[in-house]
Amino acid sequence: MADRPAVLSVQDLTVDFETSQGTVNVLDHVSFELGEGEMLGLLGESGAGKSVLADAILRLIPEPPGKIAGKVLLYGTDLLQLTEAELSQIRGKQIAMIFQDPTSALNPVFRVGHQVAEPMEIHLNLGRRSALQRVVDIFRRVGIPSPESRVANYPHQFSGGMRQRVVISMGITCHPKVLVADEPTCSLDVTIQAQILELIRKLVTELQTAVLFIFNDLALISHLCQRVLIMYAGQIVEDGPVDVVFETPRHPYTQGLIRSVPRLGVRRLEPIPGHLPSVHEYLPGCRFYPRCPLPDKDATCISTRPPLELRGVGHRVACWKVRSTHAR
Amino acid sequence: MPGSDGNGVLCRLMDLKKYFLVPAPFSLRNLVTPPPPRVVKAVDGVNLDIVRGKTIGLVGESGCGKTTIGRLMMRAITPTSGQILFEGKDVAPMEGEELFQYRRQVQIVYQDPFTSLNPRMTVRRIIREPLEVHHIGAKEERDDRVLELMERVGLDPKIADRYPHEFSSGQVKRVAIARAIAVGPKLLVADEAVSALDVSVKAQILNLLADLQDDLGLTYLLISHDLGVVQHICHTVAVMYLGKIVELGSAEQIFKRPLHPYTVALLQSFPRMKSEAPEFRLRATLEGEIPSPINLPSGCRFHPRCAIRRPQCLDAEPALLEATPGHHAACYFPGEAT
Repeated sequence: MADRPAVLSVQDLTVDFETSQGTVNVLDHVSFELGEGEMLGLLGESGAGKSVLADAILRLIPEPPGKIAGKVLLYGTDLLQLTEAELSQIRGKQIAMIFQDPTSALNPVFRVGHQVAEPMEIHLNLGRRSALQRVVDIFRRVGIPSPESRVANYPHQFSGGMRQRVVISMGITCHPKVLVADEPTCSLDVTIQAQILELIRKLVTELQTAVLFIFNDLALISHLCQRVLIMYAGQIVEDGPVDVVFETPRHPYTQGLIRSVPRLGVRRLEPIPGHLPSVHEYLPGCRFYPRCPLPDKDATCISTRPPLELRGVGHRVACWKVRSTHAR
Repeated sequence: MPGSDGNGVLCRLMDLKKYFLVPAPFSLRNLVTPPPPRVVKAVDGVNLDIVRGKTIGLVGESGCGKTTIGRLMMRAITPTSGQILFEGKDVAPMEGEELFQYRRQVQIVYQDPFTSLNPRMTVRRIIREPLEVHHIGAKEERDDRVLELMERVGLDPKIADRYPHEFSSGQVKRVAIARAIAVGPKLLVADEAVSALDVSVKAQILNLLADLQDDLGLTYLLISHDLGVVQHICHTVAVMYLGKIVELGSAEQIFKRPLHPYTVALLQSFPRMKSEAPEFRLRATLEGEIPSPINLPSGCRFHPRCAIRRPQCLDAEPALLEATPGHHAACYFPGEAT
């Protein structure tokens, strides 16, 4: 758990969706805390529910067909209990999001300056002109060349890397306390990715913003974040400091994931057998069970969800078969 | 250029060039007085030996011309100049029956199997089609061959009558690989074939590719921006920048002792696990973005972004020269960048 006061506390967050084939569960009792100014990584493969978690935190999931239960406490206020009007006061100001795909996150028919200025006009009661002036400052800060003229451009006039800088500007305009960054460098070249991540790291340090980074790349998280949550099929299976989790992973899924990373001079990898189950195949208990290599896995694993419990210093694991390091 | 005339060379690219003409943007003025056409030098003089039974990786940022080389290899497009010698025979002028036979030798696996497989065809038909096109085997034997191929790539033959949308990304990737190896090619072009996959699926596909190479003696041309995959699977690596190879060597040489400042920067931007590279710090090592291949910089095409550039770099373009045995770099100051 976070060793600093929690800014964001997610408790037993559960998301179900109504589908034509019945109700499916996508997030299962997700609980974690985000400390002040902390960089927390959320690691999972596609379909694990990472983006649903991000959307649920900002309450961007339409209900119905979605159904959200649990608590999302931002400084003690449960975002899930607020009215839409109250939520609008907070979203974009205290908690903001950097979306995965900068092309679809920007409106193609409005000038970028206007789009980035909008949250400030709403939340900070700035006039159009002074908001636009601030956008110029922010653009300069995120490294967009000739910001005075660029604010009048449309999204398609920017390259992918520059467009992502625009989206980042949008996220930080109101100096939020919490930023959710959903694969912010997903479609970028590695050299541009490094530029963007360095930029985000610099900005959040200056602004003391806590960030929930969502990635499917282990290496990025190992360098960028202090703590990591490992997600599998809608459940958090492991949570701890990055060095501890990546050096001495306790959950069999995390162990398999780390063994799967391609390395120089290794011809054969040891992938996790099988594949990620579809939402219709989720077990009531541990969802990793069908692929779990542990010899002593049993019926309890199938029937009962293993709680995320402390198994070391600040290190939580959701597995019935993993004992505490203290007990051994 | 690299390598001697050993029997080991399956395919040799010689001063290969592909230029594209870009039409002028639509405007009234351009209609009245058309401006001179602009030329994109996508591939601008590439020399490369592809060794039989090995994997060669082409890496570089988007827009460096690596996919164009793949398309040239497939003869999906013809080169502007230069030669592609496949088993000693130039591919560029081929047509008719000869080209048809060539295509049986070279197959491709694309990045996105969902868009490269026909959604209205079952897996059986998808894998069967190349056998029919190339008249391989008797009609009744083809179905057995399909099932054999499915088992070969790790697919349950029971799912032969299902459609691509019913599968996970790893499974459709296997279908695409089965289709590619169905005609018994010698060279498999993998254009970002393992890039967008999740870590655990990627590991499965990488193992499959390694197995197929060991068993069938396949040669791979792996086009990828994923340096993790490249260092894992490739024997030889060519680093491309704006249509040219700037560094060429064994995977070990490229990843352990990079010579070209661009390679150095690329490697520094590439995140590796802390346990593997403890000294690595994720940081921006290259300023700016890859310039447009329409207006190439003078001299060394990398000089505007280069950390160690000197006056002579602006005058003439450095040639790709052997710096240490088997390790080539196109830089006046190889090994100086850190």
